Amino acid sequence: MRWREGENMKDKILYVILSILMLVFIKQAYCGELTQARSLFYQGNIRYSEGDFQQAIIDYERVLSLGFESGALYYNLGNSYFKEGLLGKAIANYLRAERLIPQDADLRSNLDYARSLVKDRCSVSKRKWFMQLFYNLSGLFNLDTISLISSILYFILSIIIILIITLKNLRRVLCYISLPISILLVISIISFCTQFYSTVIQRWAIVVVKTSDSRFEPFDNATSFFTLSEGERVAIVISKGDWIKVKREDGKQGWVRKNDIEFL
Amino acid sequence: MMHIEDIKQECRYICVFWILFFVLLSFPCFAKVINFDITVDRTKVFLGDSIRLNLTFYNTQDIPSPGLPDIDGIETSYIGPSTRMSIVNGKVSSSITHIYKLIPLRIGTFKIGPLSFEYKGDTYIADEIIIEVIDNPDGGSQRTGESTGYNDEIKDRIFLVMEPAKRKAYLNEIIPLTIRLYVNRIAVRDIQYPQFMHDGFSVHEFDKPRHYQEVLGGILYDVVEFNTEIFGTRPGEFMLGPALLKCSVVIRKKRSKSFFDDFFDEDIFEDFFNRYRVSPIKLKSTQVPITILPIPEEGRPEYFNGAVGDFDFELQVNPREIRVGDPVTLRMAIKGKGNFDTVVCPELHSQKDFKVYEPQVKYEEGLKIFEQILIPKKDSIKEIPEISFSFFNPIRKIYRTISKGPTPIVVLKPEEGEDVKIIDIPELPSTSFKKEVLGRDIIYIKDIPGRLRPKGEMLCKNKIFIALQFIPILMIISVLIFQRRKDHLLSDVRYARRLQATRKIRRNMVKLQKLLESGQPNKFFDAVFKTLQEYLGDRFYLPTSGISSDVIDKLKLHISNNELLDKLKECFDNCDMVRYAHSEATEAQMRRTFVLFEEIIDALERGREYER
Repeated sequence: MRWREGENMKDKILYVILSILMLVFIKQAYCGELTQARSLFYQGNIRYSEGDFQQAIIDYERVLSLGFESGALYYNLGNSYFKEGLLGKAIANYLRAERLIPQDADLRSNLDYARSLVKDRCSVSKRKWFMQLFYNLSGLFNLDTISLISSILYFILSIIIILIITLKNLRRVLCYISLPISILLVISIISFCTQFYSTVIQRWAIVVVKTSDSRFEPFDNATSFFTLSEGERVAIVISKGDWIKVKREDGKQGWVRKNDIEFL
Repeated sequence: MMHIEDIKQECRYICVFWILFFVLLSFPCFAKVINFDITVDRTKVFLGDSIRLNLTFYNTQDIPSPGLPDIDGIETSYIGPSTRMSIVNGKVSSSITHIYKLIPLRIGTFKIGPLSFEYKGDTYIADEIIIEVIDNPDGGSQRTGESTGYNDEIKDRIFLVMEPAKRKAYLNEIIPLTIRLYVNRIAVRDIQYPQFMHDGFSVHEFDKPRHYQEVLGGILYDVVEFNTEIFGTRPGEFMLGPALLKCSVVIRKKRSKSFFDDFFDEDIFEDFFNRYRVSPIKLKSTQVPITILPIPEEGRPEYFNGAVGDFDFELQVNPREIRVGDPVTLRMAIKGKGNFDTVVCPELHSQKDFKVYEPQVKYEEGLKIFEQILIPKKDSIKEIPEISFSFFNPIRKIYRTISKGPTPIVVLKPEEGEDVKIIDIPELPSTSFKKEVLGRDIIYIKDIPGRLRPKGEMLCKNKIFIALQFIPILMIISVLIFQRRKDHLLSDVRYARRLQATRKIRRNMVKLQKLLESGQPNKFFDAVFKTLQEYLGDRFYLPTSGISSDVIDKLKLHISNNELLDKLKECFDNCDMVRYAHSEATEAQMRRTFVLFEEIIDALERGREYER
């Protein structure tokens, strides 16, 4: 029996070593890909500065195909598409960058400018003031930051609750402290939910062709309901084969061809 | 004398006769002929549907229902009156509408009216109205109103009409343009301003739309009227329009008639089941040909600059007495009717000896004012030269020139020691600074990639992050349970002693085991006795000191198992025998007592069934 136990021990050590080696290899491979992605990014920047926007797009897209993303990458890609005259794709990439670096002033400026070039944009229905407040709040940070803020507030509030339970003589003071933290937590959770809905649950798309007819039914010969212009953002409602039912910002819905839009 | 009296008497009779004659003659003059409106909600109807007929009397509210004459093939019934009173700009207007329901009994064309009746000496008359009854394609369905033949009727129930005030106009001549949206028995929403093709025309902005009602072909329409002005920018034949107007109509969803419709009143349930939907439509009017004539060359004045209309020109010069280099303001006001877009500042016949600045322009409704600054360059100037304004009057088809001046002024020498030199400041606007036009383009790319992370990675989807969120909840629950237990122990002594009993017995068992192995019977039995005493006291909340084999009866209140009680008694007796009888206990006795002790504790710890 003893020799068997010894064998088991050896196996265990071997497994641990193999696992560590695997992790090291994975890490190495990851680092290798990361280095490649970085070099492609810089290569794209050089192409852009040389005025070769098409090649810059290829380099930036290759970074994405390696499975990496960053706000700056989407921003640069958006710029390259803009220079190539592809307004829809440019806006799509600016919006992707907005999810990661929402407070970036350059991004905001470029996005506003690109949006101003969208022809015949439909008017956006006005939100209720409190909804607008939460949209504005959630727009200040990206989803990760809001998640982190909410989590920290939640931990702090939990500690205060534990102290309230255990320290009976400080209960009143702790309750006063917990009140503003609770309010902040509620605001951050609602902001988180708002952004989570608008970025993860609700799927968006951008029109990438000059004009796209939105039809009442998913057929080529169906009656046209309204026309979408390049760069307009639409919400995805449902898809059916080559057709996607989209919802315009003013609430009107219609079917467009899948090729006419690009998912965010 | 008698003769004269007779003549006088006769004259009196004649006068009375003539007075009576004129009074009687004048009676019918007080009786008035008053028009009233006859309207229907539609002129074309399917057999089986009903028509609503309205007789509207204005500026009164006390006219009774006049009644309708019998119409062959139409059954009429009076629904009731509807009064209306409105105050617009302090002017009160009232009306009464008598509403009738007409049910056609056969297919054909029916004429209602002309209607005429008398009330309080006045005669009320209304035009005739033609109704066409056609066969129902649904096979005589009894459904009334909205849904039947909706698609066929929609074009008659909502349409757009574009109407310029004239079809032939001169270049730059203002043409009032009216676009009317006619709506009958349809709810319309989100009406947008109309748009229309206007190649060859310049178009002003639309005024605020007007809403009113109008009878057209015997049908009462709600009208939304958009007014604007256009003018031709080049001579030729042009087609204006078609005008396009976007709006949404509320229409009833088509639904197959179900079994339940026979049982329930549809009208009531319609609202509940939301059977209406808003559908956007684009209305299109017809095109209108317009001829734009060139302004005649013949008789064109020297100072004509393209103004078309009927204007008046006024000139004010202020101040009249100045020094060389001081400004004089010319206020040139042009008022009247016409195209003010083509009215430019009238020119001075001679600008010699003056420094002339660009005029400031103000525009109000029907009035355009040019304020121009002149600076005399020398003191020999005695007058401001004549100023002329020429325009073409398209109604009278003539040119007209209005000249003002020359206006005498006094120009004094500059004050002593003051050397006046008037220089031109190149391109300096006299009115306001131009707004700087900034260029706009995208901002340059980012030099560094930032944190490149795996695509789609999100903190909120990270499993460790999600798991961490449960820690505070678990901590709170644990602390809550601990605190409650602590409070329970502090407040419930019985419970606390009971818990303590189990803890103590574990410790004491080890001690007893050691005493058993060391072979010290007195100490062992003493320890067994005390341990048992302490355990039972804590366990059953009894005073510890009083527990012995004598109080076994008291334990019957807590322990139901007699065997266990016997064991307890035996254990206590064994201990008492060694402790008080000073008899030497053998190791076997000690072991037996220990086993007995273990059995008792084990039974009490495990078996709750022994407890009462």
